[in-house]
Amino acid sequence: MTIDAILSLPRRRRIGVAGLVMIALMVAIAALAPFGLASPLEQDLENRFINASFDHPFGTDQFGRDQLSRVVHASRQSLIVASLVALISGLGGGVLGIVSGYAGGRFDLLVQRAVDAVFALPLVVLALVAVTTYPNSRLAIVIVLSIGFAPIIVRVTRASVLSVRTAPFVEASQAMGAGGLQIIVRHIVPNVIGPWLIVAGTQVGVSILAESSLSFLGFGAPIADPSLGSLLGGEAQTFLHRAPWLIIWPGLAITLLVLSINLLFEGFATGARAERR
Amino acid sequence: MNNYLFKRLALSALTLWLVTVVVFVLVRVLPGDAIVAASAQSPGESSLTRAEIEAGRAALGLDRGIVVQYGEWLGDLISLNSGESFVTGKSVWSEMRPRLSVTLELTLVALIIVTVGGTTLGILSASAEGSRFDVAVRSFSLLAASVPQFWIALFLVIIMASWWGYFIPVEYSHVWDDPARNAQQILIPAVILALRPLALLTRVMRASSVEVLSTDYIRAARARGLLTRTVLFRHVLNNALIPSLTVLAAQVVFLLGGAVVIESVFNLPGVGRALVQAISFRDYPIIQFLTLVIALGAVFINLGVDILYWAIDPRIKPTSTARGS
Repeated sequence: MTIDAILSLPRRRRIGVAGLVMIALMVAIAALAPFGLASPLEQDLENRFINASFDHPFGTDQFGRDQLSRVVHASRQSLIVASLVALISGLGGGVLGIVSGYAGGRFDLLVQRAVDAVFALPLVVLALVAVTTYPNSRLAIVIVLSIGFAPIIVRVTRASVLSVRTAPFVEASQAMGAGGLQIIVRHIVPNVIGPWLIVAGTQVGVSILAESSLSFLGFGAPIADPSLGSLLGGEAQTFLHRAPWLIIWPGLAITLLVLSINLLFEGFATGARAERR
Repeated sequence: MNNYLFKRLALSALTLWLVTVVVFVLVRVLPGDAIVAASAQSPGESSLTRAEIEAGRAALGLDRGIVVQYGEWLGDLISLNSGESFVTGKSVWSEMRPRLSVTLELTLVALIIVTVGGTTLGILSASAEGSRFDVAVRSFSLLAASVPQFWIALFLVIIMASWWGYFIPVEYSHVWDDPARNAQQILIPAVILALRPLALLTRVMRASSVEVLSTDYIRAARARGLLTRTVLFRHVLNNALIPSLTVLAAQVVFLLGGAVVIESVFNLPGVGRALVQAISFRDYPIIQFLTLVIALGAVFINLGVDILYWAIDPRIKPTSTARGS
């Protein structure tokens, strides 16, 4: 399957289109957040704990801050972190998977042991150590999640490299004297890009969930610049019964973000399965 | 046969050794150490003099070279000595055993829900491809894979309290002390913890069952007049099991990670809280122990799954751990 054929898969599935539209909508809202919304930090102590109203569609929190603006700004952070993680772990894991699968031998064995070790290491420990060393740093979270998610991508990419490496057309071009790099670029990459795209893309959703879990526990997000998880954790929990709307909206935002990504890649996956049959 | 097992065991040992190195280096990357952390926890009480800090480090053995410290830890591990906590001075194993049992119970209950639920939903949904039931199952699995677990947890706490006036008992009871109370504390968190892996397993099980169902031998089995139930749960299940096992093995690692978050929402005294606490106190022996136990679990589960694969399909070679997840 060529890359064009792969990219057109979700467009031919309603479910993929739905995901794509939702993602576009949310990215647009997040990008336009600084315009037209109240500042997420502006306090208004006279209007604390207001339920949904015209001025504050999502209500206000314990400092009278506008919850809609806080949710939109936090979604922005979640999207940025998740895209960076998918990009870094996707590229790093993809390259490592291709090289390891193509080279084979001792190098491959060593890389796979390292991948197993990282995979066995609980991500929470890695994350806790990172945020203790660099408190309130989003970069630390990005790096930890990228390391944590890379093994899956290495494994999937390597597996698809192994399945094409001994294919007749690859052996033929080897026999004709093509160099390693040339074979990788011309033959291997086009054949592994499909599975790679699907795992790497799915990681965007997983990263959003992982980052919000960590910020929910109080790690990794600066207090002045909260993530969606931090809006749910800490103080919001003490107001659980008094102001449930503070809990509803940020959680719904996370769910919609992840759901739209899952819908898009469900479109890819069912499209690819239908193609195979 | 023995050759395969031997090779696979050696590879697992290599992986575990790598984990010990990574963990050991990782905890020492943390700024400060147990002595500094202890004096920072009680500010103003007494600021330690340089000599006192040195003496404290010497007492914990932190003044020695890092290679010596690593060697000693590894030696202790091999002789099954878990060491002593830097904070309480008690044996790590006796401190952590009750906490491990909480997390283990939570994870096991969740795992049972995932395995039974995922296999059944996946197969039934595949056998009725395109039906309303199938659509419902697929929508559920997409949604369950997208919802943050801690959010559902908070929601349930609110709903149970305001609609039924029900609060989960606060003081934790172990299952052998008060099973009814323990069930109230474990079941709801376990169901929530199970949601995401359940969704993933259902999807994989459904996808592979759909493929198996379209093969000739299933059609032949049906043509011979075998009951649909027999075909589904004997033939389809067996063949759809391999891809599902991989997913299940990968999910166990995530279950353990998710347990940390769920434990914090429901205030369960599992390893999650112990881990967070140990990191803030720089209690190296506890951090190393807990990380290693979780990693050990992950490695053994992967090993078990690999051996199972090989038992099911002997063509699979030991070094080809080329499995997606």
